[in-house]
Amino acid sequence: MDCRAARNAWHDRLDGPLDAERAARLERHLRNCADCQRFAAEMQPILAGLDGLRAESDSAMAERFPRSAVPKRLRLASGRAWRSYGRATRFAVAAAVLLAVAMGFYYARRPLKPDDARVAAPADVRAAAPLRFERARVRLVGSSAAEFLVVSEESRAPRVHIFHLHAVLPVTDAGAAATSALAAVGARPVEAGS
Amino acid sequence: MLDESPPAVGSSSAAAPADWRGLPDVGELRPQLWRLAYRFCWNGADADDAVQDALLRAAERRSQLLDPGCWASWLKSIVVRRSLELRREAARRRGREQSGCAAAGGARPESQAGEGVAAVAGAELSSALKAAIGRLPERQQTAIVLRHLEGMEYDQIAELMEINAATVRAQVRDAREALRRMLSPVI
Repeated sequence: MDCRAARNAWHDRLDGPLDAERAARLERHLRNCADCQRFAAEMQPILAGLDGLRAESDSAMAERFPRSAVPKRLRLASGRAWRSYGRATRFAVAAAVLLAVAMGFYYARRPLKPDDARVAAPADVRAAAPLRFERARVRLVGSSAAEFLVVSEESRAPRVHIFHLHAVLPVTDAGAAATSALAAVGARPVEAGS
Repeated sequence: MLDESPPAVGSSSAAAPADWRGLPDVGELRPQLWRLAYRFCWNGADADDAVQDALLRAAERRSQLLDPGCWASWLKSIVVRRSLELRREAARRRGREQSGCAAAGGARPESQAGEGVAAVAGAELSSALKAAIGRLPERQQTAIVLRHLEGMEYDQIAELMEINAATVRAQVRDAREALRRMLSPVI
């Protein structure tokens, strides 16, 4: 796979999973091509920033239209409202909730993929040097432009996930801020190089 | 870019003007339309204006909506078009003010669309990204906002922009690459 094909694949991966062979070729190329590594690293803050802009405009809409924040159909204000739905509807909602809980368990236990590896952190978080975290079960926990740290996965033993943090922003206090950012998602720092 | 006249969305062959009363309540759609406009203007007052103007324009041209099922998409396309017009008007105003400042020996405003991005840090990154999006060609702006901020599928965007889905995909890709080129020196 050459650089052009790799970048096409990288873009396509944003729209959905690649087939296994193409994904493997992309990963192989990224491991061996410094230009494409830089390309992917530079793209991450752009994507995180776009996520941040989406959240910013969601907040602006909620502020401008306070009653729009919760869709009308989800406002089950009382048991009476709930009972007013038909038996089939209530069964369907209950089934959907059970399915959501089951999927939650599945996603909580599955091995992490690189796409999961983004985390929001306080605005003035900085990382003077790469930081590594063990058993980081990282997910997108919030969104605000300029507050993202991009985290990429390194392979380790099963169910032990080591992440390498790249600071998106210029940084002052690496350890404390990034540690507190990941504390909420169960990560703990390990010595660099271990 | 989107044509000046609102699109005749849909394939219905009904020649009679659509019955406005049979269409969904615009009140339900207004927050979404406002947010869409805001994602182009990044200013609440301009978003208010864009939605209001778009609704008036839609009311004037409602006979052009052939398929009432495409009501929301049709309104969105008008909002996008009006939002882009407002952006252009704002840029022209800034240009005039800037030339006035220069003539009077005044200082230039620091951050605005159309200028190079200065070094940014912290919360300025979001401003830099907004400015960078504003400097993209309008097709790319529309495509990346609808894809990444609105979360629309390519075929939905294609319908709204009246271009084919493969072109939308290419526009989104080009927009991402252009943003990377503009912002990579400063982030």
